[in-house]
Amino acid sequence: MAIERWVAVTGGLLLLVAIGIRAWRSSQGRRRWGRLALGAEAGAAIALGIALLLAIRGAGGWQPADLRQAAWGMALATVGVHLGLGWWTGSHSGGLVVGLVALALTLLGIFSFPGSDSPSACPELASPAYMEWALFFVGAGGAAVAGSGGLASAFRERMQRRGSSFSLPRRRDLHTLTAQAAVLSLVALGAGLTVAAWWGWQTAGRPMSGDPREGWMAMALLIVAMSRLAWQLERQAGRWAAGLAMAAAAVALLGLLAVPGLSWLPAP
Amino acid sequence: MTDHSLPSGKFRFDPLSALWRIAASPQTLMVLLALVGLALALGITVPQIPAGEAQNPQAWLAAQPGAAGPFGGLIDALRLHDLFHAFWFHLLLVLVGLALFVWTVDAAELAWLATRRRSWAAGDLALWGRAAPQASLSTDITAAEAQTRLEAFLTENRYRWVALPNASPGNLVAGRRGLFLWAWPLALGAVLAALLGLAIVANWGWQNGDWLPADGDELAVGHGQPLTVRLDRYGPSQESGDLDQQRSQITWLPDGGTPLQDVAVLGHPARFEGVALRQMGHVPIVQMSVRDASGRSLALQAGGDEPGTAGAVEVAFASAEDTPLVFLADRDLFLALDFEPHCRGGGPALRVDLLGGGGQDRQTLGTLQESGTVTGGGLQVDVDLAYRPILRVDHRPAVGLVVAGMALAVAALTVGWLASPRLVRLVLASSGDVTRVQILVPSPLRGNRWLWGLVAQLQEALADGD
Repeated sequence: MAIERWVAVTGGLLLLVAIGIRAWRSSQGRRRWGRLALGAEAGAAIALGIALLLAIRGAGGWQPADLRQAAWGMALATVGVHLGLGWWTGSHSGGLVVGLVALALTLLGIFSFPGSDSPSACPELASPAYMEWALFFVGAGGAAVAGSGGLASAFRERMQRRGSSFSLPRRRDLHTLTAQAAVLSLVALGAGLTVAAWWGWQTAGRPMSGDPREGWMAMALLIVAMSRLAWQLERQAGRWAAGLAMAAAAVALLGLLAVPGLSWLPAP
Repeated sequence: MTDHSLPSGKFRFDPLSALWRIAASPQTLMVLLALVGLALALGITVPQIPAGEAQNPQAWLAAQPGAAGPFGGLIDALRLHDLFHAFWFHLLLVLVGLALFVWTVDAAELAWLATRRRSWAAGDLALWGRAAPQASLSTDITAAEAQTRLEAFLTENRYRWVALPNASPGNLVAGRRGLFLWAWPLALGAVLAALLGLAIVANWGWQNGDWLPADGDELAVGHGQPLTVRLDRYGPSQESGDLDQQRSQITWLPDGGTPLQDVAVLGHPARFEGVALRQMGHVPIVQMSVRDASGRSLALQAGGDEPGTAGAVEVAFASAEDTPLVFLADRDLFLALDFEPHCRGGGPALRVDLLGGGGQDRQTLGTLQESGTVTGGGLQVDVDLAYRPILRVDHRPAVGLVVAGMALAVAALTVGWLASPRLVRLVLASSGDVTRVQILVPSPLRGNRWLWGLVAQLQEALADGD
């Protein structure tokens, strides 16, 4: 097994530790141990960053279409956005779901094969293209965190209806996480699309390069914008915002990882 | 927007006000954004007519697999193969533009009211909408004492606050960093400008097809422009021999004007009076000759050329994705050329494959990054590799508006988010021994992180000294 996979496995194990601590903490109703979970999450972020760098070095360059690099990049962005927003807002709620999402992405990268990248994964990436894709990954990570916040809100409501004895995160903390991650995603995806438009204009005279993943990112941006607008609804604003954040996360993940070449009526 | 001058009981329908209210509601904008997102999804999954096929789209449509399927009629009716030029898509963008205009005006009104010197009027409170208070506090001190403490807290924390005139006592509007409220209308206005730019791009301007010139070739720009462009030389810059840094030295030749020399490189087009010449990339031009094991030169036939004679043949790639074939008549074999512009940290490469058995048997003879020889299958293939630029001439002035609008929108959104301007209305009401403080946030500021911090601080201020 290549060394980057071992490093990613370490990151996955650290995420598992963070998830375990948070789950145990919720079941026991104890609010301590939070720092240990945060430390494990930060360690996982460092391990994923190293694994990503090694994978990039092994491939001879950053290939956004390479499933392994994309999956680890998304996992790193998700954990990084969660840690950053937690530091900024003072609340690390939703960490259990964020950890599970990041773990799933890490495993996807570990079990993808070197040959699983797109056949067209041989791009001429210039500096603006690197910037564009870095912003897309941050934006997709923000959408994943917002979606995780939404999922945690839905889970919380369900547990509360059942009269669960679990120590659940506060609704307002989850709402804050969902809303702030959505704005971060909106800004990062918007900036990525702006760079794509500028670079497309400089190189091809069009406002976009024609890469279908840019279209998927634009769709994710529209849904994130809807999630942000949902806070202005008079009724059930939180539910709408959470649901739309989950939809945006699904579109962003699908667009970056699964459907770059999807075409219902393929050209001959 | 209530007209107090009307006698009670009479209702006059105002279509403009109704239209404004519909466009200003978040539901409308959300539905419109959802429809644009759906259109984008269709635009990605259903192949769009390529620019090169625009002259004869029916032939291209007929060649699409699934075109005659059960959804073929629906796809044609909705023009899903040319979605971004369909009437309904343009109508959708117009409606989005209308809604964005209304949102921009409303957001600017809120920012204006929050930053002007004059006090708030009772009519301005409509901006808070009809939603329930976002937070509520209770205290057992009197309303007068609560108001004194709230005012002291707001002053200490550098809030700009006013007591509402003509309202019940204990009705305050407080704001902080109000200037940054202008970020939201600025962002919306910039998106509107970008949308306008997109509409102009779709209807104004032109772009020629790819031009693959040899040194010295000239192209009349066309489209009524009295202008010709000539490629003087294509080659590496003095600083670098890297193929990505290859540049096209050109001369603009205006009719009756002074010729002007310029340079185009990837990402840095040459411009002349609004016309841009872009270097999109490069394609190989291959001079090829083939010898058998005995050293005899074989006859070659490339593309639609006449049956070849022994010697060298020139193979020109029509695009970087092209895979031209060279026929070896003596052997009933083909040579397939495949160009990889730039791959995995290496330079551009040309792969030479030998095809036999009707294309079933494929043997890679070798990959070249510069002129050289590959061997295999009893053949020796000599390749002289050179490059030509892919150039494209266009005039699309509004793309700059699209990019500038997007950049301004992102910058304004970022500033507004980081600065986190605050605006709240505090309403005090007494009931028995309990004083209740309701906290209302205007709709554009809902879902922000500062509210719960403010609530905690207000709770503390009201509890102090108890």
